[in-house]
Amino acid sequence: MSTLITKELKDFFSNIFGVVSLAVLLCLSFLFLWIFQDSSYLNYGLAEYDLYFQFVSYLLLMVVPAFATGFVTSEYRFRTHELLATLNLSWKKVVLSKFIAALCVVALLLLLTSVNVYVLNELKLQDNATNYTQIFTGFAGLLGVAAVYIAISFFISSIVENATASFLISVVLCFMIFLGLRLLSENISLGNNWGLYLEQWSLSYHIDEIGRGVLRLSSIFFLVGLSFWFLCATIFNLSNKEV
Amino acid sequence: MNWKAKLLGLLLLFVVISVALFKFDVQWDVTSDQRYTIKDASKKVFRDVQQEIVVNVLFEGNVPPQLRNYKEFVDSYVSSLARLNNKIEVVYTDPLKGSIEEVRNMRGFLSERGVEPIEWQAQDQKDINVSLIYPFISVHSEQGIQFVNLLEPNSTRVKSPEEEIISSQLKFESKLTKAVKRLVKNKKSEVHIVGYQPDLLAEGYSRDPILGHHLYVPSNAEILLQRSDSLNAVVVVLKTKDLSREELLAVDYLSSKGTPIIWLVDKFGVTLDSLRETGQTFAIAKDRASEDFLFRFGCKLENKLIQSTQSTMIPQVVQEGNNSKPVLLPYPYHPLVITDESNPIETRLSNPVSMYYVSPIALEEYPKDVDKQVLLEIGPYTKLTANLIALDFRLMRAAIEVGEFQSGTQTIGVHLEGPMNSYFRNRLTKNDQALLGKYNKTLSTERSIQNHVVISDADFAIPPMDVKGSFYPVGFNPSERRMYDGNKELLSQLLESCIEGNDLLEMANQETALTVLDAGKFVKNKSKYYIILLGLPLVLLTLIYIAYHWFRKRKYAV
Repeated sequence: MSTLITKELKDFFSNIFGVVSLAVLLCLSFLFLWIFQDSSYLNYGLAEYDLYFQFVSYLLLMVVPAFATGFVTSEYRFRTHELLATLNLSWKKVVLSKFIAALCVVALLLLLTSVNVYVLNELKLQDNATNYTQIFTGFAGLLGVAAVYIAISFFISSIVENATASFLISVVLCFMIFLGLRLLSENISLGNNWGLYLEQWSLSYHIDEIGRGVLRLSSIFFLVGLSFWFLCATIFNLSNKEV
Repeated sequence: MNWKAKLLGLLLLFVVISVALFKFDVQWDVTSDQRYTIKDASKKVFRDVQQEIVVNVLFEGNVPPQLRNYKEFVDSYVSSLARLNNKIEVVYTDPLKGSIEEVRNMRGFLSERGVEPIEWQAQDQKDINVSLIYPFISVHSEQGIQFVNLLEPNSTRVKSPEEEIISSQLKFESKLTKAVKRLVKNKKSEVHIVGYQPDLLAEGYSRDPILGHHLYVPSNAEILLQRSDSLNAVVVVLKTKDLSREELLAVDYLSSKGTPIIWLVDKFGVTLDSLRETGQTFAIAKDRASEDFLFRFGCKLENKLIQSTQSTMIPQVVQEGNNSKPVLLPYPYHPLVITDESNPIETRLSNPVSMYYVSPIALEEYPKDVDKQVLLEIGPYTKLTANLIALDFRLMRAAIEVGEFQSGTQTIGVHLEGPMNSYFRNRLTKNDQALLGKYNKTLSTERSIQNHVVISDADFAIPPMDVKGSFYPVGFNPSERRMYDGNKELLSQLLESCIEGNDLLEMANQETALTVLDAGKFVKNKSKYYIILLGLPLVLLTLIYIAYHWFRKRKYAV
């Protein structure tokens, strides 16, 4: 499996598009978190990590489907999916390898954006000790969110072979799961706390909570469960696909 | 089973477990100050709610960036309430959203209840942005409605908006808990006032939106004994006169029952009015039976007046050439009490307290069984003035020399608790017995008293009156013509701690790890931070890309 993971990573870095998209995202995170007034830390006034975690989760919403759908659709583009089907490799291994490789790319992106956390610690007005548990939890949460996006993108690209269509549908589905039900709960009035229950079905609710430093069992299960289901669906779908 | 059925089964399992977890969630609060964990005292209050209540968050709409973190904190907190008790429903309402008619009606409804929007000003590099917001939560049930102001009133201390928000966030939980507690409680707490002008004080407090949560009863010995089973606290205000023997007997009896008593005592009967009229007056300490009563606890009001370098101001006519004009000058006998991290008051006050002619309190070693806790202090730059001194305004014309104010920190508020003999032990006269007998009361000579609070100033809690006889709010300083919100805050917190217990106050006194961002440092070292935030990651990414291709070329080089 490690060979497959390395192969996927090599494929990603051999393509200038992937690296440029990461660079664009780094620029965007810098602009939004430190330059643009409305969303910047300078206006926010607090050296808290939640704004960073929230913003990066939105960033991932755009970037992850872009490269994750490519991990699968490239196989169709180069007709290598037929080859994979004939090899002595289970689809489970193939999908998992691609999934881990995609997570590694996200981890690299998070690592590069983690300079924000360093700067926030530098700019603290009070001499409070850095809460590494909260930082670690936040990064783990972002990886969890990215895992869901990757799994969704894989699932969509296992159904739709066209790269552009697959990307667009993935973005829409990721957005729906990220924010859809939350927006719905905020815009329609539901009695008896139904709004609160409804918003818990959105990823943004969970990443906001984790980013603030509140780790819930329901959040862990939601992130892991969703990723697991979409990965299973991808594996089932690819295994039963006629080549 | 075909794969589609398996997937459907998995999805169903996921939904079922998720629903169960949403309902019975386990959470770990990994923040350093555990700010998202509902404190036990609040949990008890929220879990005990038996009737349907609605928590309506009005803090909605266009929330300014500086308040977003606080808003999310509030949302997260109130959503946890719904999990604690399904009788609590959480709704969000933006009072400024809807048709013109709806907004007008909503604003009218809120305005009638004293809830007005605030204009939040945030300055960026170029402009000042003003947002209209309602930083309030309403808690309502069939029994009524309570409002929680999410922002602390602006203090006179130099605080940044971020610090104001952090201070508000710290007090949010105790405020919301108190509001729910008040709502579910069937009746208001009964607070009796004895001593100086109880009628006027009761009327002034009842009208106040912050103090008016309790029922204030102007009282005397007979009423105190008659209502002894239902009253919740007594405020004794000693300004010029002492309590009558009967009143002291009633207070002694209530002490034996564990009723909280707040003593607001002016050791000297000096007033600014008497000084203004005559230009000079003598500060003569009063000796009162009530003070003997307090001395039994080991609490002694000293025959001295405190002068402080931190004080409020009074107008004085100053001669400039041929012209004379009134200017405000600091008056050291009117100290300003600012509570900070070093102050032992149970709940730190957000605002300074404006006090008038305050005396130091000495705590004696005996009786050893009585727990004597310092609540409030002034200092460190103070000067003590002896008894029988002539007071006039001359000292204001000289500049304050800090070197002369070397008496150190002075105690002006204490909390007393513990076993104590009755003041009337072996001293009960026939009249005393008759008075007690009239209400079927017997005096237990040995008892354990609880929650006696002594503050060595009464004026801070007296609402001033204008010439027409109308009340100014408690804390209004007529000389400066401005409000000192700390006065009301101190009185309100003393009452709350006596009536509600200390749990809620401890909650408001918690430390926070919320940290303000040093934007000035960022702006000053802009280039450095731009390089770290953008240059460094881009360079690293480029290096990874170049290194990958370099190794690849080397590997496949022929």
